[in-house]
Amino acid sequence: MKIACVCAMGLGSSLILRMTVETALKQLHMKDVEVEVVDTSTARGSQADIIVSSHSFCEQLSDMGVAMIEVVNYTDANYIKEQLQKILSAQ
Amino acid sequence: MLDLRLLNKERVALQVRVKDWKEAVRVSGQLLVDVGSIESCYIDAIIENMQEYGPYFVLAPGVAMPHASCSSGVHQVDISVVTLANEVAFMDSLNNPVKLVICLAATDNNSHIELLKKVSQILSDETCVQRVKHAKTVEEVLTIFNS
Repeated sequence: MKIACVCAMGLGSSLILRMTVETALKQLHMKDVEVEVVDTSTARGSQADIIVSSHSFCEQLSDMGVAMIEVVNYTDANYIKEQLQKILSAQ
Repeated sequence: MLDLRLLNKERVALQVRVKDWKEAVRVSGQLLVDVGSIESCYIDAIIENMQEYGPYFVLAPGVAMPHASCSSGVHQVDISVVTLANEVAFMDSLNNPVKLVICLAATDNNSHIELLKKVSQILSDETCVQRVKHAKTVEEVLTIFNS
């Protein structure tokens, strides 16, 4: 499975977001998940199964037809864990 | 021996009164200009970026981590920590109002990862965040960041 953390630049907020996603994955005991950091143009070509990002980027990418986790607090691993569980149980 | 201490007192300012988010960014950036880690053009780049991308670096309730990709204004990876006496709104961020500003000087995608891991650990602990936001002395903040 591939998760893409989408942001404007890829060197600050999104790296923190990636660390939080990785914490959530550890708490879920999920391995073999690739987590990458991309900007919006790269996100479209990334073949990600799940996009994690802020409201404005999720909105921009909503036509991708991919599961999205819209995040307000980039440091809240519990929230991301709950959203991942929701997505996975819906599959 | 590599000194992994994150912060020292030159990089911390507490209970600073600012009139708006731009001033908050300038104050936190200026600490890094004063220690020689960045040029002022990096601060300008952060402000321009926010005007273009919106409040992209307000990443947790009351916490902003201003940074930019303008590596030409950065001499070394670094952070500064500023708490505000009066919380300010950073545009329409859902994490407003901001109390804690951590300015990040980043040179590229990787050299600041260790620094960011430590910042991320602190920010993911709500008790730590509250302690930093309401710290009355620089020593309290240094203890949290350097532990």
